[in-house]
Parts: sequence; structure tokens; C-alpha cells
Amino acid sequence: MREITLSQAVNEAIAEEMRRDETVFLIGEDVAEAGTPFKVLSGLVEEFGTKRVIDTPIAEPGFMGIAVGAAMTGARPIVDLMFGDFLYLVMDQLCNQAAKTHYMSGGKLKVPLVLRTNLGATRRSAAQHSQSLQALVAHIPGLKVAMPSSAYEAKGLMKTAIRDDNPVVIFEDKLMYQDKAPVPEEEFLIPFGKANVLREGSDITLIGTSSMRQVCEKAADLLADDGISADVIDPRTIVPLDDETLLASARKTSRVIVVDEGHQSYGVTAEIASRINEKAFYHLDAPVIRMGAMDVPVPFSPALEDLTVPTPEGVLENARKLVAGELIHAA
Amino acid sequence: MAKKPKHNDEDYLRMYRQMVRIRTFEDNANQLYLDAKMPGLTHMYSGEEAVAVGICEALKVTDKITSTHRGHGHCVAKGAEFKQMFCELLGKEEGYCRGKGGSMHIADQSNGNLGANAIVGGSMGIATGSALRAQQQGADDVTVCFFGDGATAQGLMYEVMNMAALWKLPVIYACENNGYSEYTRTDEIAAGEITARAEAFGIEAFQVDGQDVLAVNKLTSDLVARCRKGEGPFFIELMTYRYHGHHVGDINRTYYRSKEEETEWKSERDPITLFGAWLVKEGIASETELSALRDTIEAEAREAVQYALDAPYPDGSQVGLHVFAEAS
Amino acid sequence: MPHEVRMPQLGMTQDSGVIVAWLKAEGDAVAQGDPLIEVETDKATVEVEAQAAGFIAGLRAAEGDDVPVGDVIAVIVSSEAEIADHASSGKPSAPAITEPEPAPEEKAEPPAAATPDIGDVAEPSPAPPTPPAAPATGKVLASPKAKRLALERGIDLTSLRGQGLREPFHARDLDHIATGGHSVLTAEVAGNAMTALLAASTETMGRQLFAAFAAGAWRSLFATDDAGIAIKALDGTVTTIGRADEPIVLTLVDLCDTRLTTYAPAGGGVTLCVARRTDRYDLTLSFAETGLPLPHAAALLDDIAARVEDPIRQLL
Repeated sequence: MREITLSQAVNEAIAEEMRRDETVFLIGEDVAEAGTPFKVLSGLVEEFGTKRVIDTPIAEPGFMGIAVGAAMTGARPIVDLMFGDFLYLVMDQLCNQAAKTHYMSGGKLKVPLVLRTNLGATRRSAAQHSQSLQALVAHIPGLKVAMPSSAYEAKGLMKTAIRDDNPVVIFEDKLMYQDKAPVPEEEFLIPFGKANVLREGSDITLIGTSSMRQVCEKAADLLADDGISADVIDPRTIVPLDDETLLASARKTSRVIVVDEGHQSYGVTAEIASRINEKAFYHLDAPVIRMGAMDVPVPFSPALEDLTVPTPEGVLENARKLVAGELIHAA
Repeated sequence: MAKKPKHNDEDYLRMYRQMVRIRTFEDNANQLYLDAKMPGLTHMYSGEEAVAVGICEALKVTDKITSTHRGHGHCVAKGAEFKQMFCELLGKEEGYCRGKGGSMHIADQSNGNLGANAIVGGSMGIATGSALRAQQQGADDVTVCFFGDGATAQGLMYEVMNMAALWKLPVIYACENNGYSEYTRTDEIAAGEITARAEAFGIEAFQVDGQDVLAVNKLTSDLVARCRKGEGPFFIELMTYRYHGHHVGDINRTYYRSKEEETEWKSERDPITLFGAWLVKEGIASETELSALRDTIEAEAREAVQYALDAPYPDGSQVGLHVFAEAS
Repeated sequence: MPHEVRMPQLGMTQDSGVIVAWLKAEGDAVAQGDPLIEVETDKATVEVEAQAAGFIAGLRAAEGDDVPVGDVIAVIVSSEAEIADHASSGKPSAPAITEPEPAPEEKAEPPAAATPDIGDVAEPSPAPPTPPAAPATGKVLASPKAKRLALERGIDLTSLRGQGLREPFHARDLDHIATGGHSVLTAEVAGNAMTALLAASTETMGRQLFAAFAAGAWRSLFATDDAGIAIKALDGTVTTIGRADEPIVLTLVDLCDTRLTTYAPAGGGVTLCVARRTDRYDLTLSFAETGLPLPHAAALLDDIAARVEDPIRQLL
């Protein structure tokens, strides 16, 4: 199978959906000729024109609100938010307007829009361009949240997001744009709420979102050298979350580590760990361990920044302890 | 006395009727609140009827509006029915939003009302996006964004007016300047002229007497027609007055405005009284006919209130519905 | 006159109560009505309040102990000066020993600190990294899965104590009980020095000495300070050596005054049997290799044997 980058995969997904459905349009800062700073959208304006690939002023709440209105009246906008950190700017339009309109109208209005943005630290971009804020939006009822972990996932999840009748926030890892993966040329979609079991083991379950999937896979490789076999699972979407797959694995292995690049406290890892505790408690042979980013603003210095994110070595260390029956935290 | 053509008479009578419907709706809603029969609280539109009616009478059903927390008037003016509105106010299943929105979130999609909004200025993006959608579709629909003088302090307004002007969107920003931003005089929260804000973006801006339904309707009709030709966006500042406090229960308000001022607006500048007198003067209707019309509407409102009071609440099983739209 | 704190009668059919936790330590001041202990009965765990004001002294039961109703478990004295009197008044020394068998070496020591030599058994220190140990309070620490499996298989988790397993217990600890497979290692040790040393000692002192050697070997091998030892008598009674919070890692069975040679309990865990021959001691270690791999077991027994062979050096 051919291999393409995550950036190309997103571009293909959007182009295919814009060809398929004329109500789909792109809106955001420098999405047209510039194709975004990451060049993900390059070439789309040439095919679809400036009426469907709309450059905006630097006014995130404004174009977010405009997208909500367009979605309520029948369009399927894709909002490009240049950095995930700018989510704070659009919170009212996203969380008070887009997320609640369907419910507040008793189901009569719909807001089918996609907010595509990014996450991920270690790009030496410091505290306002490095955050992974998926927990923030996952907390809000009415928003779906997708976290592609590869080029293949990015394409399939983006196409599903565009066709969904709800506001969907899709987080791409900005450090993975040039990562290649096999992606079929023929059309495919990846359903929401169906986790991807990447490998099967018996001793421990490693759950990783977005690029933390790769962290978990590397840790699983290292664990295999110790004779420890791991389930590695990518939830794909954290809203909706595929509880059943995660719980089935937890019941099988009795030990779970959840890894997500958002801040650890009150985060995605906490939610998943909590669901496992609630629903698979009597199958657990060890506490479910959360591994998120440190609860600090992302520092600039490489010497500091690299300390803040989960690593395969960190996952390995915790996994070994869990399998050995050692305590990571005091009993 | 020169009589107006027949179809205009009907238009005028409908405007009068719609203004009376709004006032009657609000009087009944206020009473429901005072009688503790209404959950939550609400914001009365009484006094501003000529704004909603003058504008909405210039619109087609497929034209869109976005509304505000003080939104009952917009909803009635855009064609909503009393029963479903009262049901919504009381949180009943048959409400426009199945009881999930309430007073501050009534939406009536069938008549192009994209919904009231409890965030001050929160709907400005939505209205602008609705206009973008119409432009993309090549439809001639116009969107009117209602908001108050208080909302002009929100940054979102400037972001979306900028884009609307850049892209020549068919949207009319209708600023209902009732003189007060919640509990504060407008001149204490707004520097400079309200209309100058729009003019800075090259948007044509107008100020109009918001108690004169004909003046509002004429200006809006002109601007809507120009919007349909691609000459939008526009901005209107409508000078009006709210008879009640910021919300029901805002009773002791002399610290921000005098009783004399309120009395003067109600006795000298009431939009319904003024327009009724004009209709009689023009021979379009007699005082007796107008009185009978008001009685009919009052009876209709009383019936709707009773209907809503007797209507069932939504079943508890509905609480989890409509968080997400199911695949269509 | 000190106030005696007794195990209260908390239920109609209750014969004894397990002390889950002491809420006051020896020497603490208490007011009447202060929560003093948590007691677990067949029905529930309840807090028992102090019935007098004063200072806690002379604790006679440790956390985890099952104490007959009515037995004195501590006294409350009226002045701080009296605390020492009661602490050293010949009451049982090791808090985890329910059947007091005071050894001379320990007689003058308060419950939590024995002499350095024998008292290797009870040196207080923070939990070391390997093997980590959870405090052995009255409550058995086990993973949710282990608890569920124990329930399903009818296994009493307290029976896992004293078998060389660490708490919290995990599912595999149950598995190796269920399989019950034991390995046995035996060492023959020249016995002259030990026999001479024990000539003047009581039977109890002898056992405690063997237990101390076992604990010392365990600590040295696993670089840990936690190595509680259970001493199991042939009538089935068990006493323990070590701090109250120390996990039991090994069970000692003294067969010296019998014709018996080895005993390996079916329940799993690590058991050391000591049998005396004319001029030697036979040490037999039975263990499950899932819990204690052979290299560790071999090193452990060899170390114990060395200590028995040259006991004076150990004591010095």
C-alpha cells in the first residue's frame, strides 16, 4: 500500500469530502494560498476557489461564530484553528453556542461543523503554542472529539467528522504532520466510538491517544523483551469513547496504563481510568495508572520541555512495576 | 380622507396586531412569573414592540433572525404561536424546544428564528454565518441580527462586522438601544457614537426612532432590498425603551433610572398607542375595532396560558436526548 | 489507679474482636470519649472510645490481633510519669504476639524495639525499594481482582500472611496457593557452636534465635528492613517476631525436640524447618518457585545455614 504523510492524509480527506458535498467549506486564518503554517491545506484553494476556502482575519471567535451560523443554516464548515491553544479564544462560540444548540432547540437545529486543530509539545514553541487541550472540549456535552494517531487514522476520522451532524473537534498532533503511514487509495471511513486494538497481549493494557499511541507501542516493544505482553489500544475518539473495548481489555489483563498528552490532572487519562475503575474494578490486579503531561505550563527550554511529556521509557517503567506487583504509589 | 390601498391596510393592521400580541404575551408572562408559575426568570420586551415588528414585517419566512435574552418580541414578530411559546416558557414538552431551552433559548426554525441567546452578543457570529451561507447558496435571504446596546461592548461584534463588510454579506445588525445595559445607562458603557462603530468598517449605518413602527419598517424594507442585491451589510441603531427592569423582578431600579422617565416613555412614546392613533386618524381602523382586536388577542393569550399550564412536562427519559444529532 | 482498657463486647454473639487500628499511641494523652481503637467484629468495624482521661500506656495487643472480649488491651494512666511503669511491667513485648512468650533478650524492651541482634527482627526504618512491602495492618491489602478470586475460591486472604508473600496480594499469589507446588531445599549444618550457645537457653529463646537468623538472611538478601517471621508450633499456634507493621515473610517450624525432620504446609509460602541431629542441624526450606525463585531460595538457605554454623559471630 502507498504511504503518505499525515498532512497529505488530512488534505485528501478534506478534498474528497468537498468534492462529494458542496456544502462543505473551509474557513480560518491563512487556509487558502498559504495552506496553513503547516501547509496541510496546500492546493485546496486552487481546486475549490476562495468561496469555499475562506481566508479570515485573525479573529478566532468571529470566524468560529460565523461557522456556527453557517452550520445551523445548512452548511458543513471546517474551521481551521491554527493552534489548539487558541481554543480558549473560541470557547463561547464552541461551547455555549455550537455544543448546546441542538439540545437547547429540542433537537430542531443542528450544528454540523468540524473544528480542526492540533496538540502536542516538544516543538519548542513554549506555553501558548504547545498545549493539548482535548480534555477541555471533551468535558462539554454536545461536542465530539477525535484524536487521530496516524495518517491512516487522520484521513478516516476526518471524513467521518465532516459527515457527522454534530460539532466535532479533531486534534492532529502537530509533530506528526510529516509522519508517513500506509493509507489506501480507495475511500474509507473510520467510525467514531470504536477503539483500535493495535496489538494483543495478556499482561497489561496500554491505552494511548494521538501520538501517545506510538509511545505505548514503543513501550510494548520494550516490554516484549522482558517477556511481558501488552494490549495496545488507541481509543480514536474520546467522545464518544469505546468503553466496551477498553473494559474488555482491562478485564483480560487486569492492569492498565492510560497515556494522553493533555495535563494529567482532571484529564482524559483520569476519565478513562475512572471508567475502568467503576466498571472493571473487581478485575483489576493493580491501580489504573494515568500518564499525562506534567501539570505545568509547557516550558520553552528543550531541557525542560522534554521532561513534561510521557515517554516510552516512562510507560515501560510503570508497566514493569505493575506487572511485578510493585506499587507505583503508596498503598 | 384618502384611504391607503387595501393590501397596505392589511399590512398596517397586521403590524398593530403583532405589536399587541407581543405586549399581551409579555403581560401574561410577567403575571406567570409573579404568580410563581414560571420556572426561572425572563426579560420583558414591552415597550420595544415597534422594533421587532417593524423589522420582521420587512422579512420573508425564509429570511433569518437571531435573537437575544430579551427575545419574546422577536419570536412573536417572526411568526411564532402563543401556545408553543408559553409551553416553552413553562418548560413543557410541547414548547418550541421541547422545554429544553426556556425563555432565553426559544428558537423557531420553521419561521427562520435561529434562536434567542443568553450570552450578550453571542449570536452575532451566528447571524453573520447565516448570511454567509445564504451568499454561498446564491439565495437572496437576509439575516437580521438583533442585539442590545450592551452587546456593542463585546469584541465579537467587531470581528464579525469586519468580515461581513469584507465579504459583503446580506446581514443587518439591528442594535436595539433601549438606553440601559442591564442596570447601567448606555452612555456610561459606550464611548462615542454607536453607529460610528459600524461606519468604521465602511458599513452604512442608520439611526431610527424605534417607537415608530412605520419608520422602522420603511428603513428595514429598503435595507433588506439592498441586501438582496448584494449591497449589505447594514447597521441600524433603533432608539427605544424597555418598560420593565432588566428582567422580571428588577423592581427597585430608581438607582439607575427615574420613574418620571419611565412614565414619560409609556405615556408619550408608546409604540402601540402611537400607531393605534395613526390607524384611527388615517381611517384604517376605528378605536372600537382596535379595542376588539386587543380583546381577542388577550383571550387568545389567556387560552394559551391555560393550555400551557395544563400541558405535560417532558418525560424524564428525554433528558438524555438531543445531546447529539443522530445520523440523518 | 490506672483505668484498664478492655476488648469490649460489641455484639450478642461476639467472642473476640480484631484490633483494626490503634487510634492513639502509647504515651498519647486522651480525653474521655476520644476514639481509641477500631475494632472489627463479625458484623462491622466500630470505633471504641476511651472511657477515661489520661495517657495511654502498656499496649497489650497490636493491630491485627484477635483479642477475646474482656481482655485488657491497654491501660490509661493519670500522669505521664506512670507511662513507663506500665510499658515495662512485664507485659508482652512484641505487639504481634498474641500468646506472650517473652524472650530474655527482649524483656527490657518496649514492644517496637528489640535488641540489635535478635532485634534485627524489628528495626524500624522506611520501606526499601525491593521487595516493597505494605504495612501489615489488621486489614489485608489485596488487589480487587485478588479479593474477588479469593472469594470465588473460598480462600481466606489472611492465610496468605506468613508465607513469604508481599502485601498487597495479587491474583498470582492466589494462583500459587491453588497449585500448591512446593520445592524443598535442605542444608546440613555443623551444630556444635549453636548447641553450646543454646545449652543455657529456653526452647523459646532457641526458636527466636533461629527466627532472627532467618530474618537477618532475608534482609541481607533482599536489601530490605521488612522481614517479619512467624513461628509455628506443632499444636498449630503461631507467634510472630517483628514490628507490628512488618510483613511476615517466612514461617519457622522448630522440630528440634522431636523425631520429625521436615514439615511443608500445603498453603504455600516459605517455611523453614529446623531439626537437630547429634552433631548438626538440618535446615529445610520449602517454598513455591513462583514466589521465591530457586536462586533466591538457595541463597537464603545458604545464608541462614552460615549464621547457624557460626552463631556467635552473628550475635557479636
